[in-house]
Formats: sequence, structure tokens, C-alpha cells
Amino acid sequence: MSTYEDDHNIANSNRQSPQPQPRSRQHQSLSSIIQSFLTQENTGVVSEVPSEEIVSNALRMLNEENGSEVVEQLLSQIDTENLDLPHSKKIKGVEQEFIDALPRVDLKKLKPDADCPICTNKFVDNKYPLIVKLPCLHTKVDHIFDLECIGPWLKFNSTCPLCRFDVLEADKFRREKLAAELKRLEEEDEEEEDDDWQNYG
Amino acid sequence: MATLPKRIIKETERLVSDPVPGITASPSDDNLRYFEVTIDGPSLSPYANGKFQLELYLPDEYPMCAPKVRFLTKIYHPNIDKLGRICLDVLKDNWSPALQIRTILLSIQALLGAPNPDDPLANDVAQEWKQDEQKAISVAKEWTEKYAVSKD
Repeated sequence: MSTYEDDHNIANSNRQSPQPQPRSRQHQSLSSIIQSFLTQENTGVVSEVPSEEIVSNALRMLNEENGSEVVEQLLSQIDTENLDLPHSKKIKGVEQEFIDALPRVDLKKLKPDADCPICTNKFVDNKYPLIVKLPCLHTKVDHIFDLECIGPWLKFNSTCPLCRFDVLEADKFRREKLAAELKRLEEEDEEEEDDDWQNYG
Repeated sequence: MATLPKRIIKETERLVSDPVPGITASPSDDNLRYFEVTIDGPSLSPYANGKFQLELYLPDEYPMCAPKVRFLTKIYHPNIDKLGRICLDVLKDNWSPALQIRTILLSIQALLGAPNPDDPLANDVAQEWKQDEQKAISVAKEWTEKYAVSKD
């Protein structure tokens, strides 16, 4: 007598690959995702958010299928870690935005023999030079570099190669100055308003 | 082998054409990132008259990271351990891509002239140095005579 499976030309579900195998495969891929997530964080690569999403999605899937407490715990952990991220980030370098915003230097304003301290090539020899200036304080001479040379350095170090000045300090200093200026203007505005009211009186 | 960055070629050329006094550095024939280095001990130091052999290797990341430098000649110095490893800030946290092979080798030569037992790598040597500086200096002289002065 033919079985239901034979009649319908489908493989017997009992004879199909045993249950643990797909499971272990699942775990393997999950662990590799977690591994890549961990190693990425260690090397300080900035794009940790998408991989975190991948991990939490994978965990969520596991949770829906198997519903375990451990998975729930891990999920909540990722959520709280996400909240702390800006503080727990320990990259010594600067953001790409900072590098993009560095002031450009016009080649025509430089001496013809000026060279980049990193690649030691003359700026004039570069067919398409992108020259930038670091915001170092306490220096009379500008510290200038090829953007393509200083960029990779600043990604992992926030110091000027020539004077070790922390460029993030300059940024902080500039922001504080701006904030102080804004505050002063606001206060002036308020005073003016007060004067106006007195006139009405 | 990947092509050698222009900066390394330029540095090598200059090391040969315009050498630093008391320092030689020549690239190995089969690996242009590996240099055989000699540094003369500074006069007025316990290492005077000595010629010290070192090896210098430029990692792939150079100049974004420091060269790896090691003494091959035995030397009695509080900042150099028995494997020849050197404790020098510019070789570690204070590296800057504006530094070069020649500036690093000059820093090492300066370190020979100014041992710093308060920032030791070779702990036993540093301790002996601090306990009895005169004796340490005479040991350094002995070692220089024994290992770093050619006998011909």
C-alpha cells in the first residue's frame, strides 16, 4: 500500500534531514553574525548600527521560532547598549563629517616647493590637489596636508602630525566660543526687549 | 609584492644620498621594507666608540603607524631590553606620520645619549641604573667594548 507521501510525490517528512541540523546551521550563522559584530566593534569601524540591527533581527527570529528567555535577555541587552552607544564609543579619531569640513587651501597661495608632510610630495606635483588645513591653535604657520593623506590618519587619531595638537579641542573651543556669542546676543535681545517695555510704561 | 609607496622610495634614496652623521640604513635586497641599520654610540656617552646594529621594518600601514625597530647588538641600557626592543614614545603612542626613518633613528641615537631609568623597559637594568649610576655606566661601557666595538 502506498503512503500518503508516495501518492502525492513528496518526501516523507520523517526521512527529511534530522531536526538538529538546520538548527545547528542556524546557530552557526548567528554566531558568525555575532562574531563579525564583535570584531567590527573592536576595530572601531563606525558602521556598527546596521550590524546591530542584523543581530537583533536574527535574535528576534530565533525568539519567534523557539521563544527562549535567553534570547529575550540578549535582545533587551542590545537595546540598552544601543542607548549608551555614543558614550561607549572609544574611537580616538574624528568623525568623517569633521574631515569633510576641514578648510581647503588654495594651491596658488602656497609656496611652489611646499610639500605634504605625510607623503612628502610637492603639492604642485599633484594633478588634482585637495589640500586642507588643520585647526591647530598656537601656531603661526598653517599645518597643511593632502586630504587623502590626513584623512586616514584622522580617522584613528585626533592629533596634528606636526604639532600633536588635538584637533577636536579646537573644534570644542570653537563651539564654546560660538555658544558664548549666541548667549551674549540673546541676552542683549532680552535687554532690548526690557527697554521696550519700560518705554511703554 | 605590492608596489612600494613613493614616500618609502624617496626616504630610502635620501638615506643613501644624504646620510645622517653616525647612522647608516640600507634596505635589504629581497625586501625593500626591511633595513639594516647601524648607529654610532654618541661620544660623551657610555656607548661611545660602539657601532650598534639594528633592524628596522616598515609595516604595510607605514606611515600611518611607526616602523618596527630593534637592536641586534647586545646593549646595556635601561630603555632597551635583552631582546633589543626599545622603549621610546615616538615608536609607540607618540608616532606621527610626519616623522620619518631618519628622525626615528636620530631619536634612538639621542636615547643612547640620555638613558631614562624612570621609564624603563628592561626593569633590572633600570633598577641597577637608579641604585648605582656610576656602576651601571661602567657596565654599559664594558658591554659596548665587548659587543659593539669591531676588533679589526
